[in-house]
Amino acid sequence: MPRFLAILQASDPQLAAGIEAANGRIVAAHEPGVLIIDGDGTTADAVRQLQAVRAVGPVDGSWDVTDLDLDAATADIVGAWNRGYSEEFVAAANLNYRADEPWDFPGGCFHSGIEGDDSSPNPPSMGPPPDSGGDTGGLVASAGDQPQQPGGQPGGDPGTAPPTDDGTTPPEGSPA
Amino acid sequence: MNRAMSGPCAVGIVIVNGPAGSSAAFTDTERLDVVLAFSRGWDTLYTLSDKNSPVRPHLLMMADLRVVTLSIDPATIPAPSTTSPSNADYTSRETPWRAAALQALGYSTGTAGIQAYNQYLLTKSWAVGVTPTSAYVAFVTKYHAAWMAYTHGSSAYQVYQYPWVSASGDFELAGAGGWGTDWQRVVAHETGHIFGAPDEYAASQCSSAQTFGVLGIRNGNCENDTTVPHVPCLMRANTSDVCTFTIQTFGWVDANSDGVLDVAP
Repeated sequence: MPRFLAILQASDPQLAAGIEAANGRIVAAHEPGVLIIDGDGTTADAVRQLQAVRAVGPVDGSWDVTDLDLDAATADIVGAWNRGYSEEFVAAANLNYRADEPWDFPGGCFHSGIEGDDSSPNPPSMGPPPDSGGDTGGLVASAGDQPQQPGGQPGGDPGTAPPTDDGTTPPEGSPA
Repeated sequence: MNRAMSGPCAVGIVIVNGPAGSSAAFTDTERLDVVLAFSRGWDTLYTLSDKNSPVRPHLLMMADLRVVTLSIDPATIPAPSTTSPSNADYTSRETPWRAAALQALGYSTGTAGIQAYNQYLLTKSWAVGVTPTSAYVAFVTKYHAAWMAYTHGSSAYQVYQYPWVSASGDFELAGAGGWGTDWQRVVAHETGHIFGAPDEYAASQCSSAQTFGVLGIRNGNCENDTTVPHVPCLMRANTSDVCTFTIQTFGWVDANSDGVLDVAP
């Protein structure tokens, strides 16, 4: 699928709708205002006309922005994009290093327990958590929402979850 | 609150940089590599959502990149020494640089500081003009960590030890090698954890009886269940495929076919 960059000059709540009207979709948005857009050349031409958009780059190619006088943060995002098209990176990506190999992180790299305020992940040796009816991941609630804590109690200090009988901490959402 | 992999999600990418000239200092190119890995990892998830979700989940990742340079001597952080790190191993390596990084960003140390940063990400005004419905923080560092990449589900943060996770060839720490220059699928995998998806590879000690995600989906592609065939999946291996169980764990489900995801934001 084709991708291109758009650099913004203003914030606009209607921007996403404007891009969709041009048959494009925003894949990612990097502050302070660089969008990675799913769309072809026709979409890019239409996005270029949107009021909040300062400049649009080429589809699926590196972008020479030397004439745009970008701030450092914006230039970094464009630089990262361009690095993806560098000979060095393309060659490395084409190697598809360790493709299809199972991840080999011992004990897993997903730590769903509630750790103390300054502690690190639960030890992998703690074994799998019991069937909790759904570890819901670690997303943070929107402002005003109360994050769910162990035992189903909203709010609270995440470091206060009592240990289970075996000394480990319970998974999120499981009975304390 | 949105716990499914859908809608706009804010991500604070914190590059934890070491003193100039030290082994923990990022070069300009390495910094760009980090941004590229996240962009491509998220693109993989976006593409997977397009292909596998019955209803478009409007997944949009929004990045707030911060670079904090610490004065901590990287030699004071012990190198990882085991493929089975203990809680103490994680703590002794991560806490010093993580706490200093949070302080440099103006937050308190510990998970309270991470929570505060996440709340900032949820409420700040974004240039794209979209308000996120979820958020997490990703620390990327060259300081030592007990493992090359891991995610704290409950505290909504991740750690990537850049030299290790991006290593190829003979480079190993604690007897394990990295995933090469194009380590974007590690980012996609770890982001899957943020949205509740479990590991499926045997070394993770997974069990197919466990349930995960906002819909409470069992880990049916877990390699340790030898009674069922296993399919390629991002949560199992270094691939851009995804299994049915992970699709459902992400919340890409429209059981009543009403054209709206069952857990839409």
